[in-house]
Amino acid sequence: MHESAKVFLALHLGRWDLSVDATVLLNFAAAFLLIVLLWLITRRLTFAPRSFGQNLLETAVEFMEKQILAPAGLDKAWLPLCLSAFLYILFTGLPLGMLGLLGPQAGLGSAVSNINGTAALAVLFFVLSLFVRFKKHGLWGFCKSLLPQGVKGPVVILLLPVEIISQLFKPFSLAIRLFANMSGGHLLLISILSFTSIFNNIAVWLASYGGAIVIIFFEFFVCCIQAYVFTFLGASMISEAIGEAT
Amino acid sequence: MFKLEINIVFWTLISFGLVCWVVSAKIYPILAKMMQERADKITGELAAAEKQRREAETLRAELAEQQKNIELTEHRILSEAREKARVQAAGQFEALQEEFRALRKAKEEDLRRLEDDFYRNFEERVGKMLYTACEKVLRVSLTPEMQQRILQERFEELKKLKEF
Repeated sequence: MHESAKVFLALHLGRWDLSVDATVLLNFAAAFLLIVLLWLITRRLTFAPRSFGQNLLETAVEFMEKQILAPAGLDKAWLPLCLSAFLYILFTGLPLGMLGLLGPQAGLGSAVSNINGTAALAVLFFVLSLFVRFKKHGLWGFCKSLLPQGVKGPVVILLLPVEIISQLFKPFSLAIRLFANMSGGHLLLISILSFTSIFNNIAVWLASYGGAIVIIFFEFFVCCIQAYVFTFLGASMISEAIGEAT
Repeated sequence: MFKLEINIVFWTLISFGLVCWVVSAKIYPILAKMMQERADKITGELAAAEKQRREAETLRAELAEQQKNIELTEHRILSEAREKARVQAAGQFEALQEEFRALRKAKEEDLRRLEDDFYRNFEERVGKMLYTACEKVLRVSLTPEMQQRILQERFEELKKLKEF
């Protein structure tokens, strides 16, 4: 479906195609919506929270602190990044659900239902963790921190490639997990809705659209879970990079 | 099949970076400051409440101590007052008994004197009555000759006395 995404603005930078298609537009719409909502909430912040938005945002912040940063062992300095990742995935994933009935047929899809989008986020976290590891431990410490503690001698030669591969697979697993979970529901939605074009029957239509509505709600739930899982694993990756002093 | 779409990678990073910047620079500091202020206020109020609770506990303990002291003092004062009253009552009773004895003695003296007076008066009156009665008897029974003789005898006695 992404191959058929409509291009709204053709942009080329040398060999790189930076065109703005429906997926990119949906991403920007989600990011814009998120920023506007956050701006509206913070504009009317009160000392004693009264608005639903403020309560929700403060709950999200506390959730980040207690359910992601604390278990991962990160301090509050990483909260904005984790909160951004969580909200960004949530907001780019939720439009998929909201436009679910229209999206699959119109070729719409967000960054989190596209492997390129999830890979970009996963690689960003991976690069950040490498940077943090390098900054924290230095070049020698960086190399040493890749190995488990206490490993010496010829075992190092055996374990080093394995550990490097394991580190490299982390962003892959992050990207594929998010993509597969988000696009799984999406494909299921397409499959169910495709029955309407095969069987021209009112009962099939009702069943298809009823099932699609159920799946959309399920996708909301999956989106929340995946936003949490991605942020938590990303935070764990950074925490591991910070904490692995050898 | 995986197809690398640079535009999605690029714009995803740009949009995420934008969100990240807005959250880091504009949203989170304000929110965190407010939440921290609220947490500080709550912590402060809890600490103040705890302090006040401790003060109240101390005051209650002091009050209980004072009440205990007051009760002890009250008990002591009452005991002293009772003892003093008992001693005073005993003293007063003794004094009153003494006074009563003196008064009784005086009254007994008075009574004795009155009795004596009464008997003396009684004797006098009885004597007078007897005398009068005797006089009456004598007046009735004495004849003029006997009266004359008696007078004569008295005159004789007076003469003898005059001579003596």
